[in-house]
Amino acid sequence: MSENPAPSATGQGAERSDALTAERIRADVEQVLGEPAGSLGEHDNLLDRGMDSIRLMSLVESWRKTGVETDFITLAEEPTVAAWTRLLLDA
Amino acid sequence: MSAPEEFDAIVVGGGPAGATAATLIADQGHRVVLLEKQRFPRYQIGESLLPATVHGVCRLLGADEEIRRAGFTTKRGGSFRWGTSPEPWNFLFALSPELSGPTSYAYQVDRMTFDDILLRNAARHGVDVREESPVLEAVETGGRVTGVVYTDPAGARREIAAAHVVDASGSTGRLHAAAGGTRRYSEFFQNLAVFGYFAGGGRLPEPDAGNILCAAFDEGWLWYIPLRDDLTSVGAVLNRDQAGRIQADREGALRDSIRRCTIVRDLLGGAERVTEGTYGSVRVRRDYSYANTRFWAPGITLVGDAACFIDPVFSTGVHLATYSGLLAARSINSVLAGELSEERAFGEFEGRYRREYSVFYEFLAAFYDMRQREETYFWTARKVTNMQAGDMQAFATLVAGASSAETALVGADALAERFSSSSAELTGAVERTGAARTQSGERMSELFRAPVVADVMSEMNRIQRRGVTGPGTDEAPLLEGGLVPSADGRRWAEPAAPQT
Ligand SMILES: Cc1cc2nc3c(=O)[nH]c(=O)nc-3n(C[C@H](O)[C@H](O)[C@H](O)COP(=O)(O)OP(=O)(O)OC[C@H]3O[C@@H](n4cnc5c(N)ncnc54)[C@H](O)[C@@H]3O)c2cc1C
Repeated sequence: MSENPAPSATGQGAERSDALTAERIRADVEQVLGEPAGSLGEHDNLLDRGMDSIRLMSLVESWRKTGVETDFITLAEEPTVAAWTRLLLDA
Repeated sequence: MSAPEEFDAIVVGGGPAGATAATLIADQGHRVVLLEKQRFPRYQIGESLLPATVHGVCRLLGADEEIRRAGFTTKRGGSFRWGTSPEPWNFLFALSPELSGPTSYAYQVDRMTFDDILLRNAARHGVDVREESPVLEAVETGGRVTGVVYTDPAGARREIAAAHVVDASGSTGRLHAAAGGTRRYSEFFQNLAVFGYFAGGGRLPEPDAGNILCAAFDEGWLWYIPLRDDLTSVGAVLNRDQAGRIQADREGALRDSIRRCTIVRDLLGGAERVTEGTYGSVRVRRDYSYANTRFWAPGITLVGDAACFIDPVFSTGVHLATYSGLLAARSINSVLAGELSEERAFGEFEGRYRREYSVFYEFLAAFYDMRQREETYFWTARKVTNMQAGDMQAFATLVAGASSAETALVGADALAERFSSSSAELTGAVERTGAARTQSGERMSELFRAPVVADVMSEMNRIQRRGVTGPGTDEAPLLEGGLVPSADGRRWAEPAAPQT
């Protein structure tokens, strides 16, 4: 992955083989945004923290790979870690 | 003729499909020759692009910078005077203003320049590009296509042999027959296009000035593409029964259509039609939707318009061309590397390609089915309820190639029902979205959520994302039991064992 210039979820997040957890959701979000671990508030609007459509698509892609059903629009409508944890884990 | 030259792959046709396939095969160190009938730059229709081509495929090709510098008009989506509302509405590439990112736009391109950039780029990537070299026929040995015969610029017949031939010769090429299938035309989408170019012409208000406008009127619809500040591409899409009238007086048919379509007439105002040079003639093209029954056979793969074509209302032609070029290159590279069997590699190519074609076809059916202000013959004839069982069956056969046994078993009635409900959902989504440049009209969540639109966007989004984020194997298979792109995006890989 060394040639990968843009921040993305193609690094760590995708390599992990564990199932999706609240901790991983937060860690993946922090990683694509380039934010230090533990720096994001549950209810921070991620669009204000630099989330864009490509980063969001990367997250959707790597989370779907763990078997959860989700899509870009659903996540875009409530762009917070709290909402995503609920949407992704309370299926 | 002397002994044939040998290559790993021969690509026939230097349009976007051929240039894409050739570049991505050569990138893996294989010997590739591309044979093109004409000398570039050459004219082609199909000027309005989609983001997956610009930010996805063109990036993989390493041509994105040059394309950015070419100064093409930026398009943030399509504007449609289509349906029951007199006001145009927008289909934007960005979900919302907040999520409008660096890939939420595409370009309107003059194809002479765009195609030339991609072809020269292919040559820089090591492709042996030979222009003025029309291919005459495929060479077959023992049930496999093993090469082609072409005429070189001096008029001499030459033969080339290769493990793989890619037919990218567009809608008029004949090589596709060597794949052993037939070309099936949709009974339903058999339109004719008559088009020309205008010096100047008005623009939609910013930020929509670069958008394509598609405007319905009684006898069909018009496209209005702002190619440059001083050049507008205008075309009328009409029923095929107008052929006689159009051929008798092309200019008159185009002018007449413009006169009947208020929004385009007003935009054009007094702009004069260009009458000299490449853009100086009024041209006519059949734009019947079709697909071949076979997309590959041992030794030959069909890409772009050589394989299938869909009505131009969503600007899909160049996307399907570059997308299929990418898929074919992945399959050929995997086979040349000895990593996959031909069945497996080309099965993935055909499955993904048919899926992409069929989701656009369903979108198209739903789109033409939308209730219009003008409920004339042109529009009622295109209602899903008027689709013939034969047309539905043809569609089911198309999808059946997509390795989905389930869809293949769906009957014509069930399909008609599905198309009708897609259309109802689309109509509802357009109504809830509302007119361009209103608050709701800037937000695409209603439209993107309509299932038929979501299906259409999913692969395009993946291609774009991969173009931007670079290497990685983080995709789930698209098709059941199917393959995933390799880390470098240029071959296929078996998916990792499912994560549970
Ligand atoms: C009316 C109309 C409007 C359209 N509008 C749009 C639009 O807005 N946006 C969009 O994306 N698409 C549009 N399209 C579709 C678009 O034009 C095509 O889908 C696209 O050009 C296909 O690319 P290609 O590479 O497959 O083929 P082409 O671009 O046709 O290239 C094929 C090449 O093969 C060469 N060739 C042919 N025969 C031989 C031979 N025997 N030997 C060697 N070379 C050969 C040709 O010279 C040509 O250069 C439109 C189509 C129509 C009809």
